[in-house]
Amino acid sequence: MIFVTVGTQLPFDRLVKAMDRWAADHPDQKVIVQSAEGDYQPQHMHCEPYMAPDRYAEVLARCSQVVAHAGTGSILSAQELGKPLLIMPRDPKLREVRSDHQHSTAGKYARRAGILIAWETEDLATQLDALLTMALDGDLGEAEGAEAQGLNNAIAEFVEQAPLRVKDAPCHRVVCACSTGGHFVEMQRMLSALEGHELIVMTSDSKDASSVPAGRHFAIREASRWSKSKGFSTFLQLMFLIPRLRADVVLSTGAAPGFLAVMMGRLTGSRVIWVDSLANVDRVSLGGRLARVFAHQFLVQWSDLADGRRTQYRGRVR
Amino acid sequence: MIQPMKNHRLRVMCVSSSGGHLVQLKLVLPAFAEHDLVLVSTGEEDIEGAAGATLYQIPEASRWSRIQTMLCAWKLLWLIWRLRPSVIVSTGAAPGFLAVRIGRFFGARTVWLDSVANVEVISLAGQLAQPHCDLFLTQWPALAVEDGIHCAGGVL
Amino acid sequence: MIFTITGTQFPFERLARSLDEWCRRHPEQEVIGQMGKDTFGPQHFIAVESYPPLEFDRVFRSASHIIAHAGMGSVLTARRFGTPIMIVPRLVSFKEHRSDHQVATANVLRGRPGIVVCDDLANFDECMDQLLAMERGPGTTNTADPSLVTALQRFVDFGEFPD
Repeated sequence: MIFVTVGTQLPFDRLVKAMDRWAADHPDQKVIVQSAEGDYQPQHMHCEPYMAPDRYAEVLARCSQVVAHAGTGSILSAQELGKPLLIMPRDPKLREVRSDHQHSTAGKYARRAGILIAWETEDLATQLDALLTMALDGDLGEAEGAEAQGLNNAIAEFVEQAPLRVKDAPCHRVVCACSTGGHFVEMQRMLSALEGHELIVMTSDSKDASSVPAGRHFAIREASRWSKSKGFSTFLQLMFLIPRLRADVVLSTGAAPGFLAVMMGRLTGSRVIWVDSLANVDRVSLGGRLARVFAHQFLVQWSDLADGRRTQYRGRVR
Repeated sequence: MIQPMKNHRLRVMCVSSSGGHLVQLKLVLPAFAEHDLVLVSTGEEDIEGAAGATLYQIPEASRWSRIQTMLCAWKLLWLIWRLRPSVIVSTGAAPGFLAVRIGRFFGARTVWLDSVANVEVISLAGQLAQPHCDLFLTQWPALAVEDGIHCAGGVL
Repeated sequence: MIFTITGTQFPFERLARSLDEWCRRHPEQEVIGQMGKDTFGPQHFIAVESYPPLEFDRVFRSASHIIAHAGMGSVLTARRFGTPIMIVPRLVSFKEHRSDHQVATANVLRGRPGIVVCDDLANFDECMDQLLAMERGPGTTNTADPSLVTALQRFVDFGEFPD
């Protein structure tokens, strides 16, 4: 079974359509697609617009190959399970995404074992043939292990050094705030660094609660610079929520809700750390550039983005 | 998908009025043995069965004495503000309800264990607290019919 | 010594009167009562408004029998010390409590070892005979059901709900 996923934020009809055509030519192949509700209705594939985290994990585990947009959430989860992966970047010129970062992300992953890239729909058929014959053995991210360890160590160190704000508190309280999707997948990979601390996770989707340890999850409103009013309601929400929790550390991987959480955390006395998303290859994200003003520690996940001073590279998630 | 986090010591605040509610609360304290335990009650009770817990006394509250209830709420607000417990557990009556409301406001997870004395209906305080509880337990399986009301055994 | 506990929140005059009458006829029995703010002053047994916790514990331990309202505190403590207990439910019709839940509690406890339920104070004497016929047991360590403790533990540690 081939699993096609385009993430949850925007539809990606170009990929879905091309896959549907391919599925029509290959009736022997079972294809299941998570389509984020595009206009195009696939005829030759089983389609589910959105999947709950449990369902997503189940399909991902059962499938033999993954076809995805170049989102870090999809890439990380396919790599974790050792699934052969074909990625096709979204094109900002076709309004499939708002910036060109997916091309850069795809470029970074181009030579990684188990990953094929289809830059255009025309490449898709040939790359799919290659994907079907791809044989994988063992752990895909062996070399990435040390990188991930480095990042986790940096985060663990930061939390350990933060002072306890509540008198005689038995552990540090860490608020992890980010958008849902790829930012949250990256966040989940860092949670092992926070073992022994109390975690409170905030994401912009209440369904994420089922993927959060011990159920400490708050749903915050999604915000982006494209929708100013929504950003304001997130700001209000976090303005009242963050001080009440009196967290020792606020950690974010990004996007607008993460930035707002980091800002509120800093202003109300928490230590704050920002880990810029893996998706930002050429340049630190806008949220990141804003958050740099407030962050006590600012980490990027690609070494060429670090300036050795405020912006540091300590490793990346796998 | 749930990754269990062990090794973390949380602050668990147990709140009840004195008497039967407190006796029952003490019976479930072994569940929180690995955590930092804070026991809050209205009476100056003996500490047997609450070894290792930090004890606080609060004024009694009830529907019939508004001033007492306000004093109780104030003391609870102060305690929860200062200690920021991660979990609030209560077996009942008015102080427990107040603790659940205030605790929820400060981001704590809230647990209600309805008293074993409530055989036919959930206690009034329990009914009021239920929408604000993350886990709501009754001690009688017959009462665990509604959604969100669980029964996992009792103290009898 | 018979220790009588009626809780300290409300008076329980019905029980106090029946007990006083019984004590008049049984002067050989030593009876102590923690009666809260009772309006009625008993003549034939010692009534105390409330004991401090340690003193309460001491009296409870030395009692041979317990008479109490149908509150769970007394029942659980009596079970811990193995002391036979008679329970009398408070009734709303006499303005003794805010609801009749003590009747339900008493019904659940009826028939359990070491417990006598006295629903009707007209039968007070028979119930007293039953109570006094019972011997003090070995006492048990009170524990909640392990399933309850586990459910609470799993919720706090992992956020899991019971089945």
